[in-house]
Amino acid sequence: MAALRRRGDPRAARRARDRLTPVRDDFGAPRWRRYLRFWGPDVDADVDDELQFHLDMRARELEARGLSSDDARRAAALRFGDAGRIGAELREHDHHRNRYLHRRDMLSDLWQDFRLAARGLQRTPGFAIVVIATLALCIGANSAIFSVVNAVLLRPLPFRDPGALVRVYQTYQGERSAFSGPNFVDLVKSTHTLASAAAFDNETFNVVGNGDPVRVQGALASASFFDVLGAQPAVGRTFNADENDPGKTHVVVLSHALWQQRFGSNRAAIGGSLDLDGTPYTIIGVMPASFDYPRGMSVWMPLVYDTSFTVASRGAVYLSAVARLAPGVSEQQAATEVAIIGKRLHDADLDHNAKMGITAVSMREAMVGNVRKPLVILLGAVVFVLLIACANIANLLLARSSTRHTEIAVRSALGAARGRLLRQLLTESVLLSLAGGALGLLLATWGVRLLVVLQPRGIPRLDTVSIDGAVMAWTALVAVATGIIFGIAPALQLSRGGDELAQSLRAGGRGMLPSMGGRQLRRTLIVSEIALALVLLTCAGLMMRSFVRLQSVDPGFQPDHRLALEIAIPDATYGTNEKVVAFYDDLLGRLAALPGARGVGAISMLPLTDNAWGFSFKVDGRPPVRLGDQQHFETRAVSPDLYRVLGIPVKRGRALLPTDRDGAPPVAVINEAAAHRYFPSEDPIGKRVVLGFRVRDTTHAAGTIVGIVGDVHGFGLDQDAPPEIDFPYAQLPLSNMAIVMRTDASAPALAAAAKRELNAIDPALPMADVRSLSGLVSDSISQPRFYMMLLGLFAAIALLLAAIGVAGMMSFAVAQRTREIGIRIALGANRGGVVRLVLHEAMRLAVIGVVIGGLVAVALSRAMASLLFGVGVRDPATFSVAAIVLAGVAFAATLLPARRAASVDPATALRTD
Amino acid sequence: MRSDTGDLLQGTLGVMILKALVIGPAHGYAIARWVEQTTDDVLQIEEGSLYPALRRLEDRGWVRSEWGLSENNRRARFYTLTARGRAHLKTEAAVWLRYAGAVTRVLRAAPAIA
Repeated sequence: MAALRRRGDPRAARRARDRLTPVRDDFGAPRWRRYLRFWGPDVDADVDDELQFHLDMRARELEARGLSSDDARRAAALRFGDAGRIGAELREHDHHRNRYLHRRDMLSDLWQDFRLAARGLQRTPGFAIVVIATLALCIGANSAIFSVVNAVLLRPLPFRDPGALVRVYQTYQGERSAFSGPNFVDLVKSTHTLASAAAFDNETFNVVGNGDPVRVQGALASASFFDVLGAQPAVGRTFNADENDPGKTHVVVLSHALWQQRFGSNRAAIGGSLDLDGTPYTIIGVMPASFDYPRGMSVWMPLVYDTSFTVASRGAVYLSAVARLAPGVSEQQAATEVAIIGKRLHDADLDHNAKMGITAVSMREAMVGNVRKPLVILLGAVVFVLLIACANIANLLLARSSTRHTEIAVRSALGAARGRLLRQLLTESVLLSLAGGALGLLLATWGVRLLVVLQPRGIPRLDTVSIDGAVMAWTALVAVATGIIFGIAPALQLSRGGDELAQSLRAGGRGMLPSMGGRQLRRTLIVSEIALALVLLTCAGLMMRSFVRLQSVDPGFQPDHRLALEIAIPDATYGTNEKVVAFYDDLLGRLAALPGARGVGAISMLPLTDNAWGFSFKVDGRPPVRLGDQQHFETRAVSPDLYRVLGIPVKRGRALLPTDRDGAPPVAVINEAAAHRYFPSEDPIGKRVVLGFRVRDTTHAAGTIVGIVGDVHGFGLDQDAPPEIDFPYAQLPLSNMAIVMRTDASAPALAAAAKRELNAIDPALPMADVRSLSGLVSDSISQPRFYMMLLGLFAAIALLLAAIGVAGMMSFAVAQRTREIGIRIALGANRGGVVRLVLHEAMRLAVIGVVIGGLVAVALSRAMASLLFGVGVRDPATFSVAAIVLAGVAFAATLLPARRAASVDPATALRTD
Repeated sequence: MRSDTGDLLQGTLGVMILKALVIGPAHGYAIARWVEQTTDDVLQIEEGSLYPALRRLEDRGWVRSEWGLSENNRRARFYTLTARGRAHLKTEAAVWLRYAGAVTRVLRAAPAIA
């Protein structure tokens, strides 16, 4: 066995001295491991040392008895036994024990740190309360917004294998439109990437029987609808494969809510009959309460796949489509394939399929794609607010550090390792942030309830928002991260100074550390804070400006003091034009006579209700337009008084009159948008227009234009008014109309009276819901309002935090430099100069922060482009105002500390040590 | 021990180590030497079992160890008897002595072995 004697290694030399013979000293562990002892006990080397010691002592004893050194060594080794195996056994045991002890120590250290931290915070309750309150607010806001993001964007969709579901759209000029029956049928026949597909449409129905008549939303769908979604019924069954065939379609699946309300959750309802718009349908099943697709449906019925559906009406687009991808197929592949099919269909029938295409997007994208960006922006905003709070708290801790120098110095002098100190200081921070996080979670539960109450229209899945495990995990993560973020810099600084402080203590000083490094850090924090605050202010300002612009768009009608009552009369009882006209004549007459009604009108479709009803048209005297190039009119049936009641101005010609009835010449009124677009170089008045549909298969929608009225933003305040044509309902009797009533009396009273009149005419008609038109307009912009309010709230919080931060930091800076200020004053500087000095320093930081923030805001605001209306992402007015406001707030926040600086008494200041 | 070991002797080894430490802290080699000297070399602890035995005693909290300097200024691990170890030793020693005494009486009883 060769000796491992290291030349020049003093330990080896010593060992060689002690050993009577050079000895191998590796029992498996290499020598260099010794040097790892710097980081803690080195188990392997210790085992080696212990066994080696024993062998050497034994060898020495045997030599003393007369053996030669070689023999002694050999005998000692022999006597010992298999040292290698024993060494390995000991090493394993010791490692195991070490790990156990280490864990136990860490836990007990951690517990001790927590108790120490808690005691320390108890001593300064004001500080703790301020920090915890700030953190609760900011972490709570984070949790609330995250719970919305979680519910809307992250949670899996409530379908079987939702990742394989796609929505398929027929497009028109690249924009998502709707399918026609024949196109959908052809798609299903040709596709290989879609394993199954279903089309669906929704309509409203009157339900009669088993309760008061009521209007419900119902879906008409392909037989495969529920299979595509993977939805199982709670009771009974869903559609059979043949139930789209004509003659077999009078079956219906109920929603859970409808089953509960009208059948008392009685299983015997299956097989019974449900009267929808006068036609009986057989109830075949009930869906579970959790199934809600499409949203708000009470019943599902099969589409009728007659020849009109499958072949004839290729140009009539109204169907939505959902499909399941074939196994192994990606969304991309499906989208490519359906685009090719779309092109083929387009080329095969240029008349009906002009400008059409087909596209597919994942179900998730279709459902939540349009709210992803604003929600992510909101989440980013709350994170910014939290970071600003962290900067404030870090500054607070840094200021507090100066009072803890003595404590740290003493502990360091007593032997506390720097790592230990650091850990203990961080524990304080994390304890604060965990407390803040717990309280914040509580605040978030209230906040979430508030958000759901606000219920902005158009954000899907908002009713499933809740504080669940994911949100709690996020909150815990954010709390710990926050504690580390704001605690790390002060803790590092304080613990680094430990040794120096200890030395200075021993040398008789009081353990004060010059705050040079601290000052730089504090300045950086303030500048970052101000930059973040500016970004938030700018984005909030842009949203606000955009919303104000949106809100001030003239909808084209007067919404105030107007109510709307939506009526649908079933074909079964009102099957002829005369009956429909008579009904509405009667109703309008009665309602007009009500006290409090200052005008009553009717329109077939209210504006701003996400409804469209467009048809192609022909103008007499114009050459026939190719089917594919045809344009469309939004089509309405109105009562003569409607324009007056809604406050829509008549621009030219005349409005409709009561004399425009059946028998009189057919007339029509168009809006300005239509006049500009379709009659750019001629006078529309006098022209006859024929639309491409018929009412009750008898009456063409046609008329001579007699007037032009003002535009109404029917599709949204942020969109252009569509070209619209209105016919008198007496000449175009549609079954579904909305009655508009103008009132200056109490709205609920009038509504109740109106419902009574309706009931008097026909008790079988469901009680329609009454809506106010001003509510309608307000609802149409509820989503932008929601984002604006939240962003505004966060920006306000950020501004407040930044103000507090600046004020706090300047106060502290003034207190730190009291001596210097005292000298200046003593040497003759005037008070005003001192104030200017302080203000100058603060504003310098503020300006740097504003500039940096401005640059960041310019880069980030581009993300908001799709959310803004009428405002550019670099709108200079908004940026300037935000910068000025922030600088002004920083200025105001510095005034008090500046005044305090000016009132420093030089005598007292100089006496301070 | 040089003769067969068994569970009994393993426990015995532990008791003897504890007794060796009554005098005061000692390193592994010193313990082995003490047993040899006290029994006039009749019992020689198999050194392969000594250190594992010491570890077991430490795990049970009857003994604690720390590093120190030996009489010739070398780094060595010293074992000390704890209060719990002392109590355990008392009970175990009493048991063993009673047992050994009983066996001795049996083996010494008449008739004598030829």
